[in-house]
This record gives sequence, structure tokens and C-alpha cells, in this order.
Amino acid sequence: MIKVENLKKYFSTGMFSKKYVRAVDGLSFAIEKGETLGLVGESGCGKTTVGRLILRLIEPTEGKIFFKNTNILELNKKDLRKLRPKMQIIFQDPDSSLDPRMKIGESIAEPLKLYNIVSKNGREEKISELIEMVGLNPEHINRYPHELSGGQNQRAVIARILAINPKFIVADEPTSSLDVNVQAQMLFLLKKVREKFGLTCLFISHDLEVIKVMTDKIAVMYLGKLVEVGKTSDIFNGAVHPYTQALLSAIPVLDPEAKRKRIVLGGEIPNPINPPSGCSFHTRCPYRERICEIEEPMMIDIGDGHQVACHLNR
Amino acid sequence: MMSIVQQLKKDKIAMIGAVIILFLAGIAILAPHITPYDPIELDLENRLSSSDVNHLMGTDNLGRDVLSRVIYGARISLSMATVVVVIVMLLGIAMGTIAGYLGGIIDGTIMRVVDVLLAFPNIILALVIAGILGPSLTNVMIALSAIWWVGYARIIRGSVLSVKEKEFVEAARAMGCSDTHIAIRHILPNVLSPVIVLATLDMGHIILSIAALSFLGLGAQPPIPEWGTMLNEGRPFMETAPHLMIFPGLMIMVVVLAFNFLGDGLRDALDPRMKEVMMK
Repeated sequence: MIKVENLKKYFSTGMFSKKYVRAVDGLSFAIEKGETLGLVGESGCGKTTVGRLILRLIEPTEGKIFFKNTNILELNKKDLRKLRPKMQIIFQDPDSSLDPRMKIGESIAEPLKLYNIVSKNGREEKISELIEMVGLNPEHINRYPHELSGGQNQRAVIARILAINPKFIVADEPTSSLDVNVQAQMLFLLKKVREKFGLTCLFISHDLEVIKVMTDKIAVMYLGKLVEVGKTSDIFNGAVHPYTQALLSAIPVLDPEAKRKRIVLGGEIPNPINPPSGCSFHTRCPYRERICEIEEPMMIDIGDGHQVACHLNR
Repeated sequence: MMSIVQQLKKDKIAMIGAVIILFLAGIAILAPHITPYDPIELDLENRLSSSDVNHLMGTDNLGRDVLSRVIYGARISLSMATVVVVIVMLLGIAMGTIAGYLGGIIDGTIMRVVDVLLAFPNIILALVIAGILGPSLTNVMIALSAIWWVGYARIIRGSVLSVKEKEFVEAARAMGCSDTHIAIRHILPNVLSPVIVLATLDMGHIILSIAALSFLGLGAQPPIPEWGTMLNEGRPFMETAPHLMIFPGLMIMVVVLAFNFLGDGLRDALDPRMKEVMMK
């Protein structure tokens, strides 16, 4: 359904000598129909940029993005606009994802009008139907976004997106700005609509607990590159890349008696303007060897679609 | 919108401003029915008489009733200022939105023009343009419109730049809305409130500028009863008949103050944070 090949996005900075921030540096992955891929990584690794690139909300520097065999980067403005309703995005901050001057009902009506999905008379009915599906009350239709809570706004965003019947959704940390109890409800809602509409998703998050519940596959990203890709269960049961292992060991465990090995990474994430040579993770890797500083590891399949980019797994 | 009106009602000074403006607008509209005399009819037997029962504000050097002329002056000043404000608002909003939304070379070009115009004091530029076009009310309006839009363009551009990055605009793009649709439906409504405040404050400034240009002989020509022109006409008689200058001068002051009061109140009611925006 979605296939990304060698996707790159460099942001240029610097006034006199041009430097490039390699936000996304040669990403390749695929998402099958009805599947949810989780994109994990710490802040600043380029997750959000990937989400926006896939929808072509920002233009990539290089690469190919296929949506059902059409390379969306080759489309002209007009054809791209025709394709847009098929691919939608849920943003991190629900309060700024809705036009503050539009009532919730107007926001939901906008895509309906734009694509003339239901006739004028059926519009109100359709809006109530959507509102109910995402768990809002009919009274919310005439409210403004600032009168609702973050969770309610996020529900409205989902209703608005569902109005145009998308096939693919990028969820960019949709729950990270919500309270924990609301997060759970939101994940439940997302799961429900995903099943009901047969959606394919790219779920971006730094929260591994959320990823574990929501995804079929995981792609771990570090400094603009993928370091490990695999089925969610495979990765949680047997992560191969040292970075993934470190991430997994950082998940809090409820049992205070539980013994576990915590891998603590030293240092900060390196500056993407000037990434380290060889494997970009070698500066923080507890197992690094000579070769890691010199040669960049390739993605290799270690069986059953589990891919990893690390020299130590030969 | 309702809450803004309610908040304004609490602001006494703003309400005073609003009442004065409404009152003046009322007499301006009703001018032909409430003025005791024709504002341009000469009465050479009653020249330069001071205030009395027949002429509440006295008469001028040609025997014309000052009260009637002041009332007609309100008509001219208010209507002209309104026209100018509407023109500069439309021009400024269009230019600011285009510059902010499209960016790039278009933005650069528009903003350089704005910078150049902002570098000169408004009244001097208006003087030059009105001087070139020749003295008349229409030319003063053209001159003021041609230079006054820059402030609006700048404020709008700034707001557009910040709103454009908001996620709801990105969501609209992802939804497949056209650029025009996004600019008009999503960006404009979110950038208009500072402009409304600025427009109210500018009504006063523009009335003052029209009066100033007319006083200098570039605007309304005699016998048109414009306040600035009346000041100029009364100047030779300042010592013997000060009422010729006092009443039009007072009117200018009251109108400008009233618009400033209302504008300040509107600004506070719309958004307390806007004080900072307007200062920039």
C-alpha cells in the first residue's frame, strides 16, 4: 500500500556556509494494506518529518514514495490534490489542529462540502453520525475548539478525517499531549475506527507501550536512519540492535521487585548537521568495535522480515 | 463576538468614545435637516459675529453660520476617513496575505516597498503625493490611501506567517483544500482582529491628516466646510474672532480622541496580548 524508497530530507541552515541538517537520511520501508507500522525513536530523530514527507506536506530532497503504485512525488499539484483525501494525518497537538474560528460542526462539514460527499440535506445527519462514532455529544457540534478539552478536540479531528473516508492515516504522536486516562480512550477509539474502516496506518510515537498495543510492525529510527525493522512481537521479544535494546530496557515495569538489565545510553544524540562517521550510533553504543567507526552498516534481513543495521549481527 | 461587546460595555472610556462617534455620525447623516443655516450661504451683514442666539457658534468672515459648517464638516471628515480606512484595509489585507502566504520573491518585493514607505513620515509623503496630484479632496484621499496601507500589510503579514505554520492549516492542505480556500477560509479569519483595532485607531489619525492637508491648502477647497479648511480660513481673524478656529479645532480634537478611546478599548477587549503586537 505504502512503499518508501531511499527517502531523504535535508534542511539547509547557515547563512554563509551552507550546512545541511540530515533530518531523514535514506529511509526505506513498506506498509501493507490494513497494517499499522510504528515509527519509534527519541525526540529529534526525524520521526515527525517522515510523517509529513509521506503526505508530501513538505517536499523531500530525494527518494520515492509510492501510494498504491503511484509515486506521489511525481504528481503535479492538481493530481496530488485529488489524491490527498485518501491520505490523512492526525497531529500531536489537537488544540491547534482545528481552526479556532470554526465550530466543531463546521470543521467536520468542511471536507464534506469540499468533496460533496453527501448532499446538502444529508450533511447534518452525517455530521451527527460521525460525532457519535468518535464518542462526542451532539451538543459539541456548536462549540468552538477552545471550549473543548484536548481529548474532545482530538476526537473531533478524527471525525473530520473519517468524513472523507481515507485509506491511509499518519498518526503523529496522537496521544502524547493527552492525560494518561484519555490516552487509553483515544487508543481504543483509534483501534476501533482502524478496524471499522480497514485503515492502513503509520503510527509515530516515542512511547513504546503505546506502540506495543497499536502496531503490527515497528521501525526504529535513530538520527534520520532506520536501525531495526520487524514484527512488533519479534522486536519486543528479541531486539537485535543495541539502540532498540536500550529503548526497550527503558520501559518502566510495574513490579518493583522485578530484576531487569537497564541499558543506560551515555551522551546526547549527535548533531544531525554533522553525523558521526560509520554507524551513526557508534558514539553511544556500549558494544562498539573498530569497524563501527569506519563503515556504515547495511540493513540485513535476519529472518522473517526482521531487518537490522548493525555490524555485530553477522 | 458577543463577549467582546460585553467587555466593551464595561470599559467606560471606550463607551464614551463610542457614544461620541455615534452622536457625530448621527448629526453627520442628518446634517441637512438639523443645521439652522446653509453652510455656504453668505450673509455679509452678519460678518464675524460672536456666539449669540441666532448663531450658536457665531459667523465667519463671510457671514456663514459656523455651527452649520461644523456639522457639515463632520459629514465630510467621517465619510472621507471611512472611505480611506476601507481602502487601506482592503489593500493592506490583500498585500499582507499575499506576501505572508506566498513568501519568496513576492514577499520580498512587497515588503521592500512597505519598508520604503514606512521610512518616511506619513504626512510628508501624503503632502508630496497630494502636491503632485493637485489640491482637492479626492486627491487627498488617493494620497492617504496610497501610503497608509503599509501598516496593515505589515501586521497582516506577520500574523499570516504565524498562522500559516499552525497545524490546522497543514491539516487543510492534507485535506486537499486549494491555496485560495486556505487563505480565505482559514488564514484570514484568524488574522483580522488586530486589523479591526488598528482601523479604529486610524480613523482618528486619518481625520487628523485630512484636516492637516486641508489646512495647508492641499485638501478641501473653500467654500467646502471641511474642518481643516475652516481653520485655515479663520487664521487671519484669530485675534478678533477666535471662535472661527476654536470650534473646528475642538471638533477635530473630540473626534480623534473618541476614536482613540474606542480603539484602545477594542484592543483590550479583543486580546490583552495584542498590546505587544501593536507596539511592534
